[in-house]
Amino acid sequence: MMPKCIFSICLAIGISMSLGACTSRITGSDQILIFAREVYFGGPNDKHVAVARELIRWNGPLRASIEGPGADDYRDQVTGYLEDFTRLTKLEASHVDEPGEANLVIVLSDGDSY
Amino acid sequence: MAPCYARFEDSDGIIQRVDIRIGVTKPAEIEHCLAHELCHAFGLRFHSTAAESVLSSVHGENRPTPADDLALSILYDPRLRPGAEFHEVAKTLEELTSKVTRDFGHHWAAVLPAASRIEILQNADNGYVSRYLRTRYPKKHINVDYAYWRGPRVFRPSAVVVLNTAERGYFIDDLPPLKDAIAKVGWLSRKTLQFGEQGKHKGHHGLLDTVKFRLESLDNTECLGFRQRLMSYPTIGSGSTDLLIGYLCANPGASLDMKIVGGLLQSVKIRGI
Repeated sequence: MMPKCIFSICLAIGISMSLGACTSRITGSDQILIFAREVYFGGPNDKHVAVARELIRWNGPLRASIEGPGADDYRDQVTGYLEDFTRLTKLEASHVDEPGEANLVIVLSDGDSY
Repeated sequence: MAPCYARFEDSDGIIQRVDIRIGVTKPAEIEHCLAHELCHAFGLRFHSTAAESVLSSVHGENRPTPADDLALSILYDPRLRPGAEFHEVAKTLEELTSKVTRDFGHHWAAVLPAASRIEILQNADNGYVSRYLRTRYPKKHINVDYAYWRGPRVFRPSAVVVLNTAERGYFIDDLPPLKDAIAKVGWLSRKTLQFGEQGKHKGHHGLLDTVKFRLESLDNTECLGFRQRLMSYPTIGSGSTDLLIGYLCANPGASLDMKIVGGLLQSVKIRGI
């Protein structure tokens, strides 16, 4: 028997679903599909975000720079992520020292400016 | 203004430039913000709690997870057109996610820390549990701790799976599909479960239940699976996503010893089933 709390959650999120739907099981593929849709086009937590709901991605080489207090401490971390992500996306990426040459600019702030 | 953000310049779905601001000062916060905003910068510009992800507000991940990796690899597939809206690519997206998860050859899952479980299983008859550590995703320090049942009739790693200290969610070989579950044992509040390093998973939303199932590939061995339910909005028919987070199996061909099950549940601080 389904506990009341589960059913309440189903009701609370406004889904008209049967008991069977509420307990239905989703495969790993379906889970990734839900996840991908939400991170590409917006999920429940993004309803307030006023940006176009369309696929966006890079089409050319990334030139990344990092600057700001302590930037040197995080350069390796950023480089590692860039390597991983470019392997996954087949993009090219490089690190540049001059922010003016970069199209992916990372700025560390000391927090005071916010 | 959010302390960390990524600001895009894009045209017809093609990103031209991204400016990332990191407005936090504690190292752990900076690490999280960098990973989170870089995922945004590559095109994962929204958020989701449907999987363990650095883009999830409930999972406490500080690094990109396999779910993030999959989403990135799918996004850059040439069959997806930049600038497309969801309804234009829904079918293609479904095909790609199906293919990419199949290509990985694994079922999606995350696991529990379970050293105590392994000790229990080491006393099993007719076989032994082998345990080893291996690193997937080199450079990302993903130590995956496996325990496998190896018995006289089982030469390949299979059943016992349980395990341990990954810093992120990941894939486990040989997990059965959830549809194989034959009986629901009970529902538990997710908050009764404490797992993950340094309690970082505390505060998850969702629920946990346990399910009994049998592995046909292993003489109908009885297993107990642990499942987390994440609530999600109804994009794919149902409003929730089930995530198998670990499981325990009996000796090959046998049924579960409820004393072992009880000890296991106690070891992971689950109060009864």
